[in-house]
Amino acid sequence: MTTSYNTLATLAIKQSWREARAFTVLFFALLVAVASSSTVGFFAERLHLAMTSKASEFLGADLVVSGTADATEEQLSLAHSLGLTGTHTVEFSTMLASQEEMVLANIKAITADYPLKGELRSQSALQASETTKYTLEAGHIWLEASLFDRLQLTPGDTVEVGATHLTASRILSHEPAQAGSGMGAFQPLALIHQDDLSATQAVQAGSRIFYRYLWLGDATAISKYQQQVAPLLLPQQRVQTLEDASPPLFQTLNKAQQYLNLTSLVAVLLASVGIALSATHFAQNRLQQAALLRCFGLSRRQTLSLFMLQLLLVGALAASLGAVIGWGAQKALFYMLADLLPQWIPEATLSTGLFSVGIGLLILFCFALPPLLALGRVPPMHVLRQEAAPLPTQAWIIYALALLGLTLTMWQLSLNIGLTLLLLTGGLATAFLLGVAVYGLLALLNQRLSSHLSWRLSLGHLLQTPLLAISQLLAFALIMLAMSLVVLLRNELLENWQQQLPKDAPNHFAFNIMPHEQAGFAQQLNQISSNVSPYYPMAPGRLTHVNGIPIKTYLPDNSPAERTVQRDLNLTWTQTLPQGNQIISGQWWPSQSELAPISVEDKLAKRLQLTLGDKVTFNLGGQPLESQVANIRSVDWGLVQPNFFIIFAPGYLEALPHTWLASFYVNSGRTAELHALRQKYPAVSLLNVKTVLTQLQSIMAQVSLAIESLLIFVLIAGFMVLLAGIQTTLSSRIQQSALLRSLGTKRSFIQRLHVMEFASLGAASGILAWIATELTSFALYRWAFEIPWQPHPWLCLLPLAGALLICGVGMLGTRRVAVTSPIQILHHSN
Amino acid sequence: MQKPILVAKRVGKSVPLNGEALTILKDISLTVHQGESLAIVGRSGSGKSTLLGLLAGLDTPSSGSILLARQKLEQLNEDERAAVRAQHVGFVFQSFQLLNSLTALENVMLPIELKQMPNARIQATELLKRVGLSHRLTHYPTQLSGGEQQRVAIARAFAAEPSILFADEPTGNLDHATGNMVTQLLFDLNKEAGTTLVLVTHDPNLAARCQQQISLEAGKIQ
Ligand SMILES: Nc1ncnc2c1ncn2[C@@H]1O[C@H](COP(=O)(O)OP(=O)(O)OP(=O)(O)O)[C@@H](O)[C@H]1O
Ligand SMILES: [Mg+2]
Repeated sequence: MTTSYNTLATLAIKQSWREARAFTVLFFALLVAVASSSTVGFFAERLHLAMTSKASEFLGADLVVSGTADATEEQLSLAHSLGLTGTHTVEFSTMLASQEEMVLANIKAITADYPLKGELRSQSALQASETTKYTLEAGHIWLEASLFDRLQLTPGDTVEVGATHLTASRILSHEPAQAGSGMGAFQPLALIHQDDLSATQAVQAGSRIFYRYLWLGDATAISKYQQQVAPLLLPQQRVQTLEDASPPLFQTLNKAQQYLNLTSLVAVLLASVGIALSATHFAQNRLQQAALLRCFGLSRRQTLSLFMLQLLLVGALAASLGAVIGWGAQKALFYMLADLLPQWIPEATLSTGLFSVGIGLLILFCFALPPLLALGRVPPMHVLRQEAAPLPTQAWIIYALALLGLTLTMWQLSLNIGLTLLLLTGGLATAFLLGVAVYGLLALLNQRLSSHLSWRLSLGHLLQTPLLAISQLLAFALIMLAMSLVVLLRNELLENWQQQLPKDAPNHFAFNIMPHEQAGFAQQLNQISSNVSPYYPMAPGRLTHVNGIPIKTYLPDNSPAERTVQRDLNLTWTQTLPQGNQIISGQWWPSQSELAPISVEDKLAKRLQLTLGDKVTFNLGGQPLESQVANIRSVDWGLVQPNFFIIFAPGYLEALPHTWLASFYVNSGRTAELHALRQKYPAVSLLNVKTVLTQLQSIMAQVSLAIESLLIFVLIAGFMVLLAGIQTTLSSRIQQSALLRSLGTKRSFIQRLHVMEFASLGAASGILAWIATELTSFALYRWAFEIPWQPHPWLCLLPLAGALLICGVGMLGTRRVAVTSPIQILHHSN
Repeated sequence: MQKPILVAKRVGKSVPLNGEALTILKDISLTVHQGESLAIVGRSGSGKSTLLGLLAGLDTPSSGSILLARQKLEQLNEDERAAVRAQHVGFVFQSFQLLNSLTALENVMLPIELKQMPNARIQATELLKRVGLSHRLTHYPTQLSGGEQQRVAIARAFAAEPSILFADEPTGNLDHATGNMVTQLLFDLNKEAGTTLVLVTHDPNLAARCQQQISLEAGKIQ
């Protein structure tokens, strides 16, 4: 063989450079494709990192082992052997006393390195700004604002904590591990240093202490620890990870992730259409060159290798440039979002960039391979006899392979085979069936309108090459499907989230409201809050017997339920089922009942092994009361609202001493009014749960902004694809127009032909996209997002939009046709 | 007497068409020696291009045998025939077949680069100068006239220093005067490099200048 692969490679480089003009379309299609999908990739990755790091700030660590028992030696040495860093806190309930008042508070003893993630924020006075600058030192105690209020303290005063005195130096305004506190969730919080712990003498045999071990480490070490510590756990302990930290946060995060995945799927889909079109175009233009090179003595393999190398070269260049652009675009996006996001966001990884470059190249070769292989079959005789063109016999097999490759790619991208298959098979099947139908329609139209010369010429052009027409139709429809799906989902998902988390979702709890204060408190609260939950009565009660068996004997040793029944449960009664609660079995208040009917939360029911009809005895202020399980219900603990394990039917507990509880929304500008409320009702505890909410809302804001920015990319990609598609038909159009014009037609007539052709193509694609969007969105809502589906009447605008869009892009893409003079065209040699 | 470079013995070609075998060529025998020239004439559709393709190894005959540069073409597979073409054969076509995406110079450089011969640029420039196009080096084919394009094609054909050159109606698309100029060029280069010429032509002038002529009618030598 006279031509080595080295020569081929050098030649490929030279040829690509020389033929740069011929590669423009392919180059830009791939560039836009990789740029948009890598922007999505980078952005999604960093957003995910930002969100998880926010979520772990929530927990104060990556993993927490907590419970009423101290950690064992084994648990600690396991953590150390895995290289985790850690700290721990000790929590207990005790009285805080000032000169004037005494209040029961939840005390958390910490060390200087607490928290491992997130931050402690404190204020020097109520009006002062929050800062993270200070660390808690021994001898000091930081109290929540409400404690300063109720103890009538000012910063700097001394507080009695158990057996010792500490200086209440600062107001604690933010503490990360607030959510899901181990005990006394309704008690206000104070932080002390662990060096002062023994002096308080609160930690003694028999006192109830809650230990929390916080661990930090890389993801693999954390998940290893989670697995290996499980068998070492004491019954009083449990493990919390990010997922448990805040279910609503993670629901939001998952939905956002799903949406971003979908957007990147759309980008990849669009990319492949664009690349497929321009790769086919590339191959078609190489027909003559292939035959010529074979005449020069290159073998079939060498000819193919030359083209492949060229493709690889141009592809690699375009793809890496695209990835760089994607990286820059992602940077810009985050710059725009700077106000919303934490100061420091982990950088996107190189592998994400390489991944999108790889995917770009994979798609390029998947779709360039069939037409290129067909080029290999060009007989060298083609140069002497034009009609000796090859027939791409095995194209279908290779397209099937390409489709498989695309499926794998999309699956890899979305990590969700269901979503991918749904989108792909659903889209393809409906698109194909409808494509055939629309083609039939066009043919019928053609027949009807064939007496009209301009229609015959314009539609005839479409229908001369039925396969090309169908594939173009499908390509355009796919683009419109993708774009309208993205818009559709953006609106509906956001609306759905907004509904789940309205702007004025409660952000405070009020409890310990005395019955005689309730009416007055409610009236004053209504003036400052736009959203107050129902008020629930709350009475303490201890569970003593189940079906007549004392609870101690009823429960197996070391049962996880022990903790629950050791202390008083908060009991309530109500006629209406609270929001976010759902009856799983039984009846919400049977009409007739001998014993007091109760409703039990499903997880507690499982832990206590309670079923419908079981008899449960409570000790209520020394009096036994026998009740019967009437129903079991699930509770959405994510909502900021009063939630109860056990609810009584009305009419049984009213005589007991009780207080009232409610949650409400107050915007951050109304601290003064809140302060006044607190002053007027000093016994009432107001708890701010602001942190949960603001985090959720800022994440929602981030996500919607991201989605809007990504839409632009999808639009650009779609536009590029349209242009690429029209580019492939350009030379045959130039030929037709040259012929028509040499026969004496006017330029405007040719333009009218184009308008008619593109408009019908666009309208037909629009109809197709309309139907396909409804079908796909139905499937997505039903099975992927699980939200209710309704028809979208505005989609009927798609055919019009399609006609306008494709006409616009088409006229832009073919302006050269009408401008080129026929003389110029005759000058073309072949 | 020089050695024969191209020998055809009872060559025939038929293609299947609608279930029947359509005979395009029948019983063609000829011999061409190194440095000689052969003209193939005949009416349109008589099988000239088909024969040229067979002789150059672009296709295989249905019967008979062809010896090109001492290789039995019918015994070689497509890749082996490609190697023979790479080593010995050059082409000039009626429709020029220049690559539109390359400049005149780059078109001429292509076969030189494929053969890994040194100084591709200098060689190609030299050849273009030889065909009188030294001022059009960086022009693209669409910017050249038909005659200029064909001269580039001839420069390209000679660039790989073939021992035998096949030309299918090299002057077919050119006017009389330009055709003469191209003919002159072919024979000049033929003389200088000792290249064997095999031409298909309708042009009696061109045919007359060849040492040998065969005339085809309905696939047979008259
Ligand atoms: N692959 C093929 N299939 C069917 N018919 C063929 C094939 N190849 C050649 N022919 C036929 O064989 C005949 C000879 O073709 P060829 O191209 O060799 O003619 P030609 O002498 O070069 O004509 P022209 O002067 O017009 O170029 C023609 O009738 C052509 O239709
Ligand atoms: Mg011919």
